[in-house]
Amino acid sequence: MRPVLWLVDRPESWQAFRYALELAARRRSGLVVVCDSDLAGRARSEAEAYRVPVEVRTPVGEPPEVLLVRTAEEEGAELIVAASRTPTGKVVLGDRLTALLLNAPGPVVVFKPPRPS
Amino acid sequence: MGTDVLARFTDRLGRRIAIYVYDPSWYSALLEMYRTFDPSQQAQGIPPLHPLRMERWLQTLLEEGINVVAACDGRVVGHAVLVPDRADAYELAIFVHQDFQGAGIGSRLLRALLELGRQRGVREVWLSVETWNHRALSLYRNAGFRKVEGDQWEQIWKLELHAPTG
Repeated sequence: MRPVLWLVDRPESWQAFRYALELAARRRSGLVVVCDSDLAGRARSEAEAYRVPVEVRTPVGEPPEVLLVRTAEEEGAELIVAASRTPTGKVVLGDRLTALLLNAPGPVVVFKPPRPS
Repeated sequence: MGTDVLARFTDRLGRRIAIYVYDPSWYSALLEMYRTFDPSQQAQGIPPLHPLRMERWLQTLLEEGINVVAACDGRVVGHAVLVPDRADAYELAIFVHQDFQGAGIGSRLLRALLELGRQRGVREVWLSVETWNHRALSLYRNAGFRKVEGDQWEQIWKLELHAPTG
């Protein structure tokens, strides 16, 4: 029952990552991170401070949402994603995130940054 | 109340409306507009439903943006703002209180804000709008905005402003 996080190189996604690490630390569950391979190193080193075992999965030859949906199915836990916020405070989901909301097998946590990033 | 008038007109229901550059003397009247704003008219999470978050959100817009208000008898009935992003462009947001919608106030408010922005050196304005928000879409189209990105949920529209002549 490890939560599954989608990490991209945007400030709100890193904030969501820290939220997911805190959640996983309290639950003593570990965390699965889906991200491009160039983010894996930084993700692992940030996770060390939380003492959360992190498994990184990288989409190869498929859109990230396909891997995310499959991983969430395998783990049986929630999917954690980040929405962005515009300068006027609007929350923007975008096509990929809405596809995930519709296709995720279980609950989806949408992390929203309190301020534009 | 503030006195920096940008426009005066009569709306489609015969009400006298004036558009002002926002100054802090309008704050409580503006806050009152958002306090009584119909929650079902919220778009893309703004104005925030929680009163404290709403106030914080409004203060950020007032601190960071170029703001204009539409007023009728001392009551604020509309608010439009340009907030700078990190790329030297400005994001637009506009709200008209539900009691004053459909009376032509939004387009006058938008025009006044864009003119004020132009005078203050704004050259690029963009906005995010939900695909099904037809009233907003026609307002932006009539003001000269053009769609630059879109998916089934949200669209981005843009407008270039030209430097004032003379």
